[in-house]
Amino acid sequence: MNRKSNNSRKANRILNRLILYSLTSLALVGGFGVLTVWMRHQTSQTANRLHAIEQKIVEERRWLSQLDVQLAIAMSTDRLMDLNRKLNLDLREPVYTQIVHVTENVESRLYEKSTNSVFTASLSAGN
Amino acid sequence: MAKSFAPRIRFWTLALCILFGYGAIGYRLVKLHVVDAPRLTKELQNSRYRVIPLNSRRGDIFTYDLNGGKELFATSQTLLEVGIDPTLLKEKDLGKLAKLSLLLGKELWDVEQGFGVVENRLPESQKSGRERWRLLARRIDEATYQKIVDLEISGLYGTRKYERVYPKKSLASHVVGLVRRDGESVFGIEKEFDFYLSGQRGWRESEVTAGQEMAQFRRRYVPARDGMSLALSIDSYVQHQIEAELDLIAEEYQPESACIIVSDPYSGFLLGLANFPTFDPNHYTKFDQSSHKNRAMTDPIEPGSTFKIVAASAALEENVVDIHSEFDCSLPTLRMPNGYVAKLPKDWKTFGVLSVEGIVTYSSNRGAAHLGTLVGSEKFYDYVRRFGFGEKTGLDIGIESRGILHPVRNWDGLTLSRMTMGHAISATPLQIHYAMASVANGGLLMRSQVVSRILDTENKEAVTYGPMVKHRVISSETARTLSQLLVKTASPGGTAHGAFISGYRVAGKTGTAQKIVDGRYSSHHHVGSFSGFFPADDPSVVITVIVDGSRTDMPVSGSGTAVPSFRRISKKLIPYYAISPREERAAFALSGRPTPVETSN
Repeated sequence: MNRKSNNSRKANRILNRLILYSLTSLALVGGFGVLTVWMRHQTSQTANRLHAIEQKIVEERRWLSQLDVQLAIAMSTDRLMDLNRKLNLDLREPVYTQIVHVTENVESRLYEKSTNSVFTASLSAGN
Repeated sequence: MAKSFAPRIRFWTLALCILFGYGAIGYRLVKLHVVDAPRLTKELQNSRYRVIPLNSRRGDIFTYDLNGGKELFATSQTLLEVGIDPTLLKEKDLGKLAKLSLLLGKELWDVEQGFGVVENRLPESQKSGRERWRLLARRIDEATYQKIVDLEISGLYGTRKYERVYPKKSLASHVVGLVRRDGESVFGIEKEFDFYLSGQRGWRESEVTAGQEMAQFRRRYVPARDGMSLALSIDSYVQHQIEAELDLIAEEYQPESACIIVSDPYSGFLLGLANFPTFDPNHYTKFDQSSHKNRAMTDPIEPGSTFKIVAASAALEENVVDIHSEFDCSLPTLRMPNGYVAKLPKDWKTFGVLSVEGIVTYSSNRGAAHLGTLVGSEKFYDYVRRFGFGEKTGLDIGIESRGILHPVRNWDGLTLSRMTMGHAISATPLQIHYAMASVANGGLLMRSQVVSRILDTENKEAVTYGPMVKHRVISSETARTLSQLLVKTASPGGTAHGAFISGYRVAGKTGTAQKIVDGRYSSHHHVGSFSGFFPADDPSVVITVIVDGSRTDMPVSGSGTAVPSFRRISKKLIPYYAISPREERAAFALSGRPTPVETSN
């Protein structure tokens, strides 16, 4: 009788351990699974965010290059001349005879100017 | 507690359940991961795996203006192809088609036809239709596409594509070249520098579901590398001026072709190169193919009298004459070095005795033949080669002709006398231009260049090109002497007196060559040319104008057609480059004549 109850106690202990281990392993595996799913979700979300940022950069670059083209077209000589005509601005290119070329030494010219009383009179009057 | 909880039957039942459960899971895992794995992986790969190509952006072609700002000649822009799925169009969208047609710049019926709409009703076969995509419009810009998207028409799609845009339209189109709509670079810098411009495409290996990339499943990412950008030496102001001048020439003479070249004599860099006829690379299909030709490089012509600079410089360099040596240019024949007595062609005016100075100034054919005879065939041929004739200038913008220059062994008794006056030889306008540039810069033949820098994607200089000397043609003394003779040519009394600009010493040489029509020199068809530079003592620019033929009553000639163009261009460039007058530098020292005064502007 004693032997029987000893055997039964032994079996119960094994069974209890088995249940305990099973529950623990289930909890562990489940936890691991949940963690994996959560990590994958996070990875996916991060990847999607990166993807969205990439798309935005591409979009911005696209708009920038678009803007460059629009600027280049707007500033092309033909367009500017058209505007000059349409807006009656009457802007003209300089004619070569309008330009006074200073062929003498610029430094000595400046020196002469600085020592000439006509130019320095107001300065001395101010002092 | 143990006694009530664990009767044997429950123990084994529970144990079996757990064992069976795990066994089932294990079996399924082994089946999926071992037995079926190859098939399932393949299926998955087939359905979701994608190699997504990443397009690289083609680099820009631009030039710097005088303030260092960039002026774009060619750039890449995303344009959209708008396509439709006719099966998805809804009744409520029918009213929006009119607005859509306006945005696309198409007729309403054209758009309705695309969708299969008849009399404002959805097509009968809409649901059974198998065609799920039709092209509606190409090259739609982003702003317009956004407006189209805002219409919210079902079944409308846009596919983005990098396309080449040329904001300056036809400006410098022969230099810049062309990239076709299929992405193939055809000619010009676009083709020759395609290696730098095109960049490298990248790719991404990933998985896709419902048309969307699942970013978390990316496996490999090779980023695209955008193309490099090219900075040209072309000055858009100069280019604009010479193209405007070509328009004038075209209007007045309706020539078969014409070209104008402007370059910096010291560096060899082109400041402008324009051809007539020209084309707009944005709409290249609307222009005749012949207008795509860069005639300045591909079409050799007989240079005519501009070529006399070779005979004069060869004779001066070889010291067989000085500028005061005199020749009887009234004689109709001349004994060649091989003993052959050649008949000389008439001059444009009957001359008597002319000095070397007079031969150049008045452009005497007979005088040039005398100079060539003194130099001799072999040596003259050598000088012709030294000036760059018979070989490519090296300008990397497309196909270039070497011109036609026969070796001395193939010359007949007349060749030397004819070649000295610019016949019996063919040269491209670019060769003529660089020959004159070598006189302008003191005797050095420069390599013709147009790309000054290559910039990487961060705008840092990857390659910088500097002036490249090919070789010395003549000594600087000979070049200076010849320049002075050419100044006389472009002064009152000279054949190019029309090029004279008050206060500036202009040097240059005209040329009027008869064209060969039906195997004979025609007296009605001419090529008029002028190649010159200024200020002669320290040249800022070399300008060559060549006009080939005329379809109007206006006859083409060097002095009548090309010289006025040269002068008009020069007068535009003086204020632009702030070129100062150089009268004070012992002008006309050779003749001792007083400085000529311009009578009219």
